[in-house]
Amino acid sequence: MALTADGAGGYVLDGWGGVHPFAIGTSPLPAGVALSTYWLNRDVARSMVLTTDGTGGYTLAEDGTVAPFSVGAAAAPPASAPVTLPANAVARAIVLGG
Amino acid sequence: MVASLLSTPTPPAHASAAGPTGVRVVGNHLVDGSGTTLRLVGANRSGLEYACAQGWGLFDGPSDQTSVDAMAAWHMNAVRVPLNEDCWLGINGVSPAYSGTNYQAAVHHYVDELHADGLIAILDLHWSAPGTTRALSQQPMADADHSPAFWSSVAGSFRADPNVVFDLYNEPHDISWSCWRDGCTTSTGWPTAGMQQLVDAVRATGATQPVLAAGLGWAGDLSQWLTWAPTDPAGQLAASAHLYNFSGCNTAACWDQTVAPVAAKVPVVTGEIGENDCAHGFVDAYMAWADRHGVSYLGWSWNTADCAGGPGMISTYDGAPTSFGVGLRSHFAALDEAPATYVLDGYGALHGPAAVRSSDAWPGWNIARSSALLPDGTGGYVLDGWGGVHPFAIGTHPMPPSATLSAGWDQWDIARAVAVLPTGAGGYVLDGWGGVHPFAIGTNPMPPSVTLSAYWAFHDIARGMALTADGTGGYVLDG
Repeated sequence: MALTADGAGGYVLDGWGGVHPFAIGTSPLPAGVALSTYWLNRDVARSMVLTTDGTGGYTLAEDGTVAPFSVGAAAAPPASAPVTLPANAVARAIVLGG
Repeated sequence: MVASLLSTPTPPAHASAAGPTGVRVVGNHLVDGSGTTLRLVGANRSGLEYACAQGWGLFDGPSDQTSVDAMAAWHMNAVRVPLNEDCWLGINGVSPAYSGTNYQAAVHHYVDELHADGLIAILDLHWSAPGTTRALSQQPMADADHSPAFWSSVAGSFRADPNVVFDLYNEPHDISWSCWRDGCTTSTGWPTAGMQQLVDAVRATGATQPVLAAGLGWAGDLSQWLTWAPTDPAGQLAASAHLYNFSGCNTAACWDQTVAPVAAKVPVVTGEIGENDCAHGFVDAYMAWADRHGVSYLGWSWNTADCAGGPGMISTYDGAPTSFGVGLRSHFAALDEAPATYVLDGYGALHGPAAVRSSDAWPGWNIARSSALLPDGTGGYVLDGWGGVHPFAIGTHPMPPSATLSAGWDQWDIARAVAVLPTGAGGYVLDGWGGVHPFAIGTNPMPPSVTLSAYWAFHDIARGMALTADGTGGYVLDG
């Protein structure tokens, strides 16, 4: 789950990689997203993060796959190189560094 | 048990630095001198493979630092430099003005210019020919007469340069995979040098840089690359592919089937990508695919050729793109401006574009649960399943202060999420029942306790947590 920068809403990640907006209080619902990757019938999505400008973000699967998504009509952020995890390790969370 | 988690040794620190710091193979990816994952993104600078043998020059177009600056301005990090074996070796009647020591000096000078702009050089044997035939074109494979000598000389000459990669032979074609690796006699009767012979020639010099072995089918076919890969005693072997909209493997289905399996085992460098329609739809699709698979790519080529012919990426050497090259330029720039994503694995390590120093890690135990950054992005905290909160630092930034906890669950994997307050003075830990527990950072006071709107006693169902921008509240996600 992640909140928008203005605190008026946010997004929930489901296990298949779907990203769903929610509104806080009487705020309007945030814009929907366009996914680049969706893990249909597979409960593998583990974390999500919004970009600082809120125009997109990334979802993370437990195998380390990082998939960009766009918010509304914005362009999706560039794909990140896949992460090579240690043997038998699973990916837990994604954050954006400075 | 939080205390015992804290006693795990800290992994060594790595720091990123500007400019090329080296390139080497680790597993199925390339890394720079600091160990950070690196993909080669750039262009081919064509000319050194033909102008010399045709007797009219060394480069085709400008080769000075200003011309290299224009390439670097496209946010590249690598340039592939096609070479001619006759010109390098000074044989088969190539004018001395454009061969031997003059040619070698020109190549070295150009590589130095590339490095000065932070660019890695991929040295490629592009044009070759057997016997006394002048190298005026591509051949089905490297020739046994000169190509091993070429690589002995080139690798020996660049042995001390950590910022070069050797591309053993440009585009093998019309030979078998056995011939590709071990050599054979061609249908026209001259002996080839196989990839193994070329690897051996490089390694005999003591050079340890990565070597690229391009697939068959004009480098468009990697289908049997893994089966026939040569042995590299230095463990620095990578695969190369050349993919165009008019080449054999020009669909995502083919890339999934033939390139992805190789990329899962060794680094793949797409040494040439392009299209002959003066557009960029094909390279856009390929670069997006390659980004998802950790594959490198370089456009063909940084020359003012017709975008429907060459295909040329530029219309002028100051870097004005053609209608084809603009797609590459835009994508390179977007990559350079991409947010820095860091992924926490279950063992407690964070993976991203800059090295991360963790205060704790649990190799072999997927006990790390969540992570959160400090507001300035210089580091953050990892939450373990028992409620321990452990600092980490990004790049060369100092390690954040330790956290003082208000709750912990010895030998109970129930902590689920961590969030840091906008002030960076503390944060909160979410447990699986929905409890939210403050922690203080450094000498800051403990943040206030929270008032919950939901709680699931004896039910491990809370999954995520987010704080509002002002830090006065937040939200908990249940399962």
